[in-house]
Amino acid sequence: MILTLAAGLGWAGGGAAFAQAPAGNGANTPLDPTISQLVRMGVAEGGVTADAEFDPPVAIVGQPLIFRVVVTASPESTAPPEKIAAPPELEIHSGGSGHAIGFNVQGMQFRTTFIFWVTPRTAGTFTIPAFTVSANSRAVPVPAKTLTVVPAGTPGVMRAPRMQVEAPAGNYYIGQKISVPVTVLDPGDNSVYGLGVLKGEGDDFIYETIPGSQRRTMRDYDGQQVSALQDNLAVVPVRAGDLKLVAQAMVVRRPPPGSLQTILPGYQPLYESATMVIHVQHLPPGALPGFTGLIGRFAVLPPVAAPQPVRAGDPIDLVVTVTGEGNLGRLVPPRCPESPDWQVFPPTPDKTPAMLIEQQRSNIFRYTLIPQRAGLLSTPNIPFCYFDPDRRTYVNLTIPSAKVQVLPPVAGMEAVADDHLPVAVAVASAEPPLPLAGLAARPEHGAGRLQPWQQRGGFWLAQLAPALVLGGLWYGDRRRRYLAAHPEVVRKAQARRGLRRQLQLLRRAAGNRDAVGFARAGVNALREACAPATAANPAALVGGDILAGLPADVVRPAADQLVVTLFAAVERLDLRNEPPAAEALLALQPELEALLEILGRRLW
Amino acid sequence: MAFVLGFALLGRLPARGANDAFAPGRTAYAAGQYTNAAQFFRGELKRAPSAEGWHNYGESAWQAGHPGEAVLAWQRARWIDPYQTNAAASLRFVYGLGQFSEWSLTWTEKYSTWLPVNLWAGVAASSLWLAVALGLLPGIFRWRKSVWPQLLAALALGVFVLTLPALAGIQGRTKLAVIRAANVPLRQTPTQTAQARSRFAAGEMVRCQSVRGKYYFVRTANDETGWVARDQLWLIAGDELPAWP
Repeated sequence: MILTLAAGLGWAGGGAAFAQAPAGNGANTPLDPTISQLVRMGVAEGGVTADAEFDPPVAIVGQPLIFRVVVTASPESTAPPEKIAAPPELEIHSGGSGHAIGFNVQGMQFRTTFIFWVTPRTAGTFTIPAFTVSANSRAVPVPAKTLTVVPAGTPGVMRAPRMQVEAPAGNYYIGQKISVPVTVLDPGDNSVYGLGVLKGEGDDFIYETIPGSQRRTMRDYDGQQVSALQDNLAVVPVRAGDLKLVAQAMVVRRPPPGSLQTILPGYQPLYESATMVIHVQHLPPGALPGFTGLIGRFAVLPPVAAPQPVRAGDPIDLVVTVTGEGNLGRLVPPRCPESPDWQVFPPTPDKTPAMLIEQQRSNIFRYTLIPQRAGLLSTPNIPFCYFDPDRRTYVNLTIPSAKVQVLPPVAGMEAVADDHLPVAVAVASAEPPLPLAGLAARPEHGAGRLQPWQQRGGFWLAQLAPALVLGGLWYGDRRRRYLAAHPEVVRKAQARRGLRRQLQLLRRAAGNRDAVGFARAGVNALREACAPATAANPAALVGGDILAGLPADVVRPAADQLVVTLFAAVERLDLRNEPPAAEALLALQPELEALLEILGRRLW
Repeated sequence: MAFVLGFALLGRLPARGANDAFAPGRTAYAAGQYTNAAQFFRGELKRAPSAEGWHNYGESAWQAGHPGEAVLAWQRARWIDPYQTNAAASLRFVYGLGQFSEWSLTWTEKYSTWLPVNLWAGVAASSLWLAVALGLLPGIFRWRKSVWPQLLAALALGVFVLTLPALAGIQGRTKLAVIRAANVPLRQTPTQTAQARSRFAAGEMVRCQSVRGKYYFVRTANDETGWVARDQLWLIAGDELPAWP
């Protein structure tokens, strides 16, 4: 009946049995959400019960035994008992946990198991008092359990099945696949029928099951040859150091009288092994080219290139088969080196599940190559190697080349056998050969740089020359036309220049105490300043013209008197050759310069 | 104007060199010593680049099994001299082998091959300034009114407008590049470890659309896009000489 129930939930294949981390680590790992939801739909959550048992019920002093606590609730909602108040004669520590799904009269039922390891120190009868576990947020009572401990050598004591892990001999390296034999020893009464799916505990390894590896054998159990079930757990260490490994599995066994199996129909007790330590090392330096992490012992078969013959430009598959033992399921194909004869694509790894690859002991991957020319070509040698942990060395596994007959690329063409012509040359069958064009005899068309002018700064700078020339011509013409239309602008400019010149003469004469020069320069300065207003030649202006042209903001009659004085002095000098009174005339300089300043402002 | 046009025509003027300047290379080529021939022509290109020198280098490279260098050389020969029929014939021959896709130019790029690239720029500049000058000078110098300057200015302006598509085509052709070696990957992103979407054959052409770091974002003849390392291709309008031989 047990097997029937188990088969109904995939128990034999382990589909509904889950071993988990030690209870001492805290809460259980959550169940897969989909399974949890599906199962919960049919699970009766009402009557959660908890019970416990010693396995075996009668223990021998000093020999560890299992104290197993089972709660009929899902692992998500169950917390391991925080503390079990064991008598001091019983040394107790927590182990792993797991869960399975069974049936009762109400339907499907979770069974979550927590393992505690108990080591009795003395003979006697000891009781673990009742305690509670938390399930579905309720405190579920676990009844008190009594253990009878007898001295070693006491006849008639029934033993429990024992799970043990056997460390294989050898050197272990990170990434190496290690097949660890796990054995469940029968207590001697042939009560162990089968072994559920093996699990490993801890984060130091990647665990893989090896299906179909379970077998029955004979082993020694404390001096007695007993039947044993042996399976293999594949582990891949992910770090270096002394790594602890614990194996767990549900064991299908005949229910001992009074055990939990008699209370919970279909229940499979959870067993776990003692801790085994594996020393794992880093891979040594000195990997050969093409090392992609392959560890074990391997060989490579001659690669097969197909289809053949192939036309240049058409792809071929280069199939490579690697055989051997090791992490073959995780083989990463090496990259094919580039070659002028081949266009190389990244390798396609074997898509077969890793488990099957390792069962078949062969990994087949392939490269897609495209020949670039016609002829009998050889595919590139592909560097590859593996690490042999037994010899502690890297072993060359270079994939040899394969011969490929390559035809010319298109129909009607054939390869020309010419050592100097490594590319495919077309020779049309119906038309004369199309040759290359031949060589030129001499250079005819030179070029300094290939960068076009339009991308060179010099070209755009050169455009400034005509732009400046044409722009200058245009601007000059525009200015000329403007001045022609506005002659006063020219007159004012001329007057400004004349005024500046006469002012310089005036100051120089004043500095030399030259009254004659001062008078002439003063008169000429007044003429220059007033000429634009009358559009007359400055030399033609007389004192009256100056007085008429004086602006309104000039202080009169002082300005009038100044102009008259200057003009009178010049007239006396010119007509009567009578020099002016120097002191009186030179004293007028500040007044004259102020007047010229006012007149000069009008010239802008 | 004459200066600009004359300068533009320099590309069509005979390059320095005697009639037998290529004789050593031709002799090596005839003897089947293609690498030696390519070495000679490469030296000539380094000394005085010419369309004919590029063509001869391309022929030698092709025969020596360097299709990337060969296609680049022929394309550069055609870039310098669009009437370089030998290079055009060699390119037709190579594309006829079907080893890689022939690059198809846009209509502006085809149009720009009617004249040497720099002649287009020279004609554009000359015609523009001629039109501007003919519009300005009669007024400045008070020339007697005549229909001829106006007609000539309109003609020059028309020529200038006709050069604009060619200049755009030249601009497009400057972004064309030749893949140097076989199996150059077209990567998904501009990084060395990015996924290779496909791989090129040596001599395939791509159009560089943008640049980021050491990679060009390119478009292939099959309209695929991706990134190619800058040192894996030659720009046709670039001045870098192939390292081989």
